[in-house]
Amino acid sequence: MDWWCYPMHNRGQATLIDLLFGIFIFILLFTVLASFFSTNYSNTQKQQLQTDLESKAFEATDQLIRFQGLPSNWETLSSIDDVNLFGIALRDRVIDENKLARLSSLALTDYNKVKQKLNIGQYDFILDLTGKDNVSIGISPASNATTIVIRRIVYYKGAEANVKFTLYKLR
Amino acid sequence: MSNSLYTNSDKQKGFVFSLDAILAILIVTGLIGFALITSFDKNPSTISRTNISQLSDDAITALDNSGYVQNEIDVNGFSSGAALNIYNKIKALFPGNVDLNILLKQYDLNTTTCKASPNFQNCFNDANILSLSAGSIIPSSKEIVHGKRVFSKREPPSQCLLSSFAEKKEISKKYSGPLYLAGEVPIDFNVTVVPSSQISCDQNVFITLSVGIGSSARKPVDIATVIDRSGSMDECAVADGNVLLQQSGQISGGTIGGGGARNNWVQIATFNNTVQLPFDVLVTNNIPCTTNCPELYIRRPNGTLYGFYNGSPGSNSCYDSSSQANYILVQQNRAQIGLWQIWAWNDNPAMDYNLTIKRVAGKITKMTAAKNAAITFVNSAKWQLPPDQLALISYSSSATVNQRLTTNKNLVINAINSLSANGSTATGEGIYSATGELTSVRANSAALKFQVLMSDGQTNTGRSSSGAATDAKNKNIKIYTIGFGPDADGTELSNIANITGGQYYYAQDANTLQAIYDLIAQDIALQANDANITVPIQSGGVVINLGGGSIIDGNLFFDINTLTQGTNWNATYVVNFPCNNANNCSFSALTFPGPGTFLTYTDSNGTHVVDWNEFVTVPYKYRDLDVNFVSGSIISQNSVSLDVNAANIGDLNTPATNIKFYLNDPDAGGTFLDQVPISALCGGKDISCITSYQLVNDALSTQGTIYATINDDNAIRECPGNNKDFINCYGEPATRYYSIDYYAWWR
Repeated sequence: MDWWCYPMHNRGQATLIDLLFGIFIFILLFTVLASFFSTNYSNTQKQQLQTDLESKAFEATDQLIRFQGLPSNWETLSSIDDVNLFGIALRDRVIDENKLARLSSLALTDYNKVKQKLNIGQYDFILDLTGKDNVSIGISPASNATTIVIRRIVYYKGAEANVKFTLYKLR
Repeated sequence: MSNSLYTNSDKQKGFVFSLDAILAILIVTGLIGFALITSFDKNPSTISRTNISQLSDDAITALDNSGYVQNEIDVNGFSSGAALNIYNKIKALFPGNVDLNILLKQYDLNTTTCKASPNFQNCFNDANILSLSAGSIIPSSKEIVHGKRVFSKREPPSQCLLSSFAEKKEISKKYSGPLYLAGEVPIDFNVTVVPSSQISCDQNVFITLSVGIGSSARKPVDIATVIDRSGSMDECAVADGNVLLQQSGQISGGTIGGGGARNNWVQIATFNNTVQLPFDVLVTNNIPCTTNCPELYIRRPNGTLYGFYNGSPGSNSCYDSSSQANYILVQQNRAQIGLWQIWAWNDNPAMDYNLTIKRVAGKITKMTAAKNAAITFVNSAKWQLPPDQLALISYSSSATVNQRLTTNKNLVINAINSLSANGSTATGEGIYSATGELTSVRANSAALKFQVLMSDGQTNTGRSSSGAATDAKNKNIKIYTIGFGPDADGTELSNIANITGGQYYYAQDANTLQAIYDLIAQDIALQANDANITVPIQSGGVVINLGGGSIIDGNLFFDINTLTQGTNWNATYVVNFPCNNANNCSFSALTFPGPGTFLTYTDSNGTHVVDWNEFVTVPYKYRDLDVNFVSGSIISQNSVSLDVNAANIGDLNTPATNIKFYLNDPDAGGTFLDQVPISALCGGKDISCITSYQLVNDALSTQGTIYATINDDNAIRECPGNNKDFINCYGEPATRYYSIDYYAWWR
């Protein structure tokens, strides 16, 4: 005889089992749904971060490789405080060697101020230029970082060169 | 039934329950799966954002900036090779998961439609577009990024470019000449030039050069006169004089009788003496004679015997065995007027003879002749006593210092007069003695030192003359030697002179001896021998009159020969500077006789080169027409407008002429286009002497070079430089464009 085929006097037991089963399912569903909502919230935050990183990375890269900076002779100024915006272009997508060298120098001594003048907020960056010379400006990201990489092509020292601008936030 | 139903119902409830449980499990499982799926971290930690549209634009921009595309089009033109190269270049800059295709287009000008209505569509319409593709085939199922970039090929511009052509050349003003040395003789140079205020081109210029020897600044000299006073010097010397009779013939048939008497004399000539003045009779023959030599006598007009010479010198006669000369002197008080007879004797064989009868001063011995010549030498005005000094040394078997070095020439003359002949010939001793005197304490250390040695024979005693000469040379003494009379040893005397850098002379007679002493005095004292002047002819100049000179190696050369004190040499030569010689258009003045002129001469101290140091500079004027393009522009397809200046940049006025225009170089067959007249232009290098013209020419059908010339027929005598200029005009605008269409997609 199957257990569900007990006479009526066993109905209380069946109710208890159902109750337990229902509680179990409730707990299971609650746990799963709570986890679902929690994870989605985290992903949304991360996506917002990436969007922000991407936006700032595009802007900073464009600013650097297409404009001379403000003032246009900022590379001759002695104090970084006098620089409004960084740009390392002689003209649109033609890199000025002097500006590049100056930016590299400033990034070693005033990294945070350079970030500020690049309008990249609290994020960190590294700019890699690969061409006649290989130049790196900024700090490389650690492994646990959210990172955006922008690739551009420029004219540098008489030849074409690749620019890789990496913007990231440590987790 | 109800039980049955109930039972059934119970049974059905169990079944329903089981279905509910299964359904619940499925729902829960689905919810968990959904939650797991949706809660999965969809945001990786590193994201690479590559915008291929932006990247494509970057790549094309970079290639544009680097000139790669331009260079490919310039080098390879519109070709599949150029397209493929550009594709590969861009591809190399792209990430590996991006593919692309490029379309290279060439836009050619359609001149027909463009001329009708010049807008871009008409000028570069589709009919004139060519295209080439390179890269992967564009997929239809993917999102394609497309962009376009236009390039222009570097065609010649539509303009006229002024030439950098310059005909004017720098005129070389190099002069060549030897290294100049200071001369011992003070030379005075002078030059005069006519005209003296201004020289115009084509004008003859008369240049007179004058050279003289200055009266001062000669180095002092110490001179030892060395005279041979051996016995032979007492023989008579042949005197010089006016020839009264001269004839030649043969003598023969003489015999010798008893006691050696000469028989069969022959009268060879008669001589009509018209005045009672001394004369001499000299007969020379050509056969050496040792015994029974020819003899000579003469008879007076009254037939009596006057003089006879038979081999022994007497008061009025001489015989010289080496020259076979018989000599008879007729003194003045015996020189009767009338017909004198000349008789001669000679035995066989027949002998040729020469007869000379001269009017002479009287008989002299070689010693007398030597004394006279030496005294004249000492008395020469060429000596400046002091600081010059003279000495007398004589020698025969030994040498004697007859007069030490002195500034009193009378002492020397007295010493000369006291000489008498006898003894042997010790030439070497004479030289040693003279050298000793010239190096004694009496010698002037600043003076040039000389010996003037006269001998009628050869050394036959004492030390060798060559050793003495070497000793003298080592003491910087130069010896002039004179051989006097036929017995003088020319070889020995030449050797002495050669060793010491002096000169050997031979004197046949007294007059020659005197002349030689004079010559030596000039040489020692102050005389430029073998003098000549070399004048470089200035570049562009033409010598019209050489003035007695000659052209050697491009220089004007004057042979002065001997330049003596008190007698200036001068010569006038004529030079012309043609107006049409380009060399004559770069200087504003002319200097004569010109840098590099020099005098060379030889004196007792060697050969000297003296730089000319007196110059005259005269302003020089010329005329010079000049044409040059100021600007030019393309007006239309076949027309240009040219601005050209004509100027006289010289000093002299120029008459009216023409500017002619040619398509391409007229000297290389260029085509004549047009000409414009220009009026006379002033000179003086003034700004007002420039005139401007504009030419609009419709004959230019293709791009080319337009030349302007002025005075190209050379009708005006002026500088030929800058008479031609050119301008490069390109008759077509830049008419060719290229575009690159690029298509990119993710793979």
